[in-house]
Amino acid sequence: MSQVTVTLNGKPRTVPDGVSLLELLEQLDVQPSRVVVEHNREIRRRDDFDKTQVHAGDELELVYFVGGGAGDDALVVGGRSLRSRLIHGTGKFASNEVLARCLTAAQPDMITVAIRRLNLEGGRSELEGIDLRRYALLPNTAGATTAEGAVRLARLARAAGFSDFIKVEVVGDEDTLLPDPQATLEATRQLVKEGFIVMAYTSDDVVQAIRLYEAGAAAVMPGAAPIGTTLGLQNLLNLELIVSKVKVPVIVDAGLGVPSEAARCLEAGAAAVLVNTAIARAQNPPEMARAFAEAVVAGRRAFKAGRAHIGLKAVASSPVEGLPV
Amino acid sequence: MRLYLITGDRGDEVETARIVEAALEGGASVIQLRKKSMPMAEQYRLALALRILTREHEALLIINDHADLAIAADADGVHLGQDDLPPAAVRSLPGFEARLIGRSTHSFAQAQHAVHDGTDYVAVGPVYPTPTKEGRPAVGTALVSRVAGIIDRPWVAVGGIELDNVATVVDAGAAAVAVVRAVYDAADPAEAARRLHEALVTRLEVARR
Repeated sequence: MSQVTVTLNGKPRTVPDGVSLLELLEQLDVQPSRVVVEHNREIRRRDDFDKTQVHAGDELELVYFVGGGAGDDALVVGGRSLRSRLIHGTGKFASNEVLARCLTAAQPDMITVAIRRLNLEGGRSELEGIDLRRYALLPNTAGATTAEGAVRLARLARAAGFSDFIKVEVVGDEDTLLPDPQATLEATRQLVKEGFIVMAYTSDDVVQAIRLYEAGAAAVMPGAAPIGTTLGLQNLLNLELIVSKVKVPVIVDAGLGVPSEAARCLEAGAAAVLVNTAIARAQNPPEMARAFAEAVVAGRRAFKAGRAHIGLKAVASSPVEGLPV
Repeated sequence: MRLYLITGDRGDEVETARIVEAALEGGASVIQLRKKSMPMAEQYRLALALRILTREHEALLIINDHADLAIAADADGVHLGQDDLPPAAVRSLPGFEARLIGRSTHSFAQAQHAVHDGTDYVAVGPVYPTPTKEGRPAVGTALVSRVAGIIDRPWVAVGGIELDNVATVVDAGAAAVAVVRAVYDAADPAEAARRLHEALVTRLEVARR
């Protein structure tokens, strides 16, 4: 085989002409399951790696999964395993192209979609160019202001074959977009009864989170701050209390601003975070998407590692015992 | 899930309710009351009966065209054609805020438009020629594929779909189908719904690999 030059992650590289993506990944010592391959600006499906040949001048972009090890520490919601602990929103992106690049960078397993748009002015409702089938879709009932409306939207989403997952979101106040506790609870009870996997959006109220858990929610989703504010985690104590009381995954949803806050949530025992505005409205959204994906991995790892005890007395890091004074 | 039954014009209240009940037992999860020639007083009584049946089966009841009937019968929503009231106008009706609005679309542009104008779900078709919409040219599975590629909200493929072609429609990208004839006019609507539903779900499993 003759050698040709291709561009790999922006740099020239010599490869055998006609080499398949699978062979190339083997040569690079990259596990095919741990990478997304963009070949001449098109995402190649893993199944096609062995059939796709690389020729002179081709452009290749290898995007490594930043999620934790598959399987060993997966997030399980309603019986479904999610490798990534970052749930990615799809609203407010400047274009579908930007959203697509963010998804490639962050590699989420689950993305949210609104069944009914809150704001129809300039709101993009179609996801052209995004292969929705690659993700678990989490439809939400945003737009409903009553339990009845939320139940209808959920039933519609299921009847249309979206999934059994539903994020119950019942807006209780139009200015703050904070959820209505009673309507959320009512809708959760009804939808659990109907066999939905309910992920319930709530404020950071501890007792409401407990009630939603008792009602059968598969995950409880307390907000960090009001939706779209990017104010960050406003009440760490409440998050810790919710995590300690609720025996299903606690997913922090809404209001996060920067990746360190996402890491903080995971360190505190949150199972995952849902991020939309902080990525969509960042100066460089794909880079921010990747940063969030990395932050949740770090936060989760830290949580599992267990933090050091807090001490009020200084202790030298270099041991002095046994040394001559 | 995934099977949406639209009632045919044939049959009185009792006959229609009987067929709908059979379809619900066969797995239909959305029922649309569509009676182009039935007087409104009768449609109202029928809608009340269908409301009870759909509640028992945790299915949705949608009323064709008549938003007033949808509210009066406490239906889950209304289905609008291209020549009916715009969705935003229906949404602003008192009593409609928490109900659903669906819309028929017959082209890519109409489907795109529908997702921007406050529609909760979209029907795309007719995929195949159908006597229910005589004279309307079939859009084929090409439009189904195109819409499947862009849409992020509930939608159904409709028009001439039956047991023999449902797999083709699923392969084109549909995850839910709406039918009239294939179930409503079947000798055994419950069995017809069951078989169609099974074919649909099986093909979806295959499509997912």
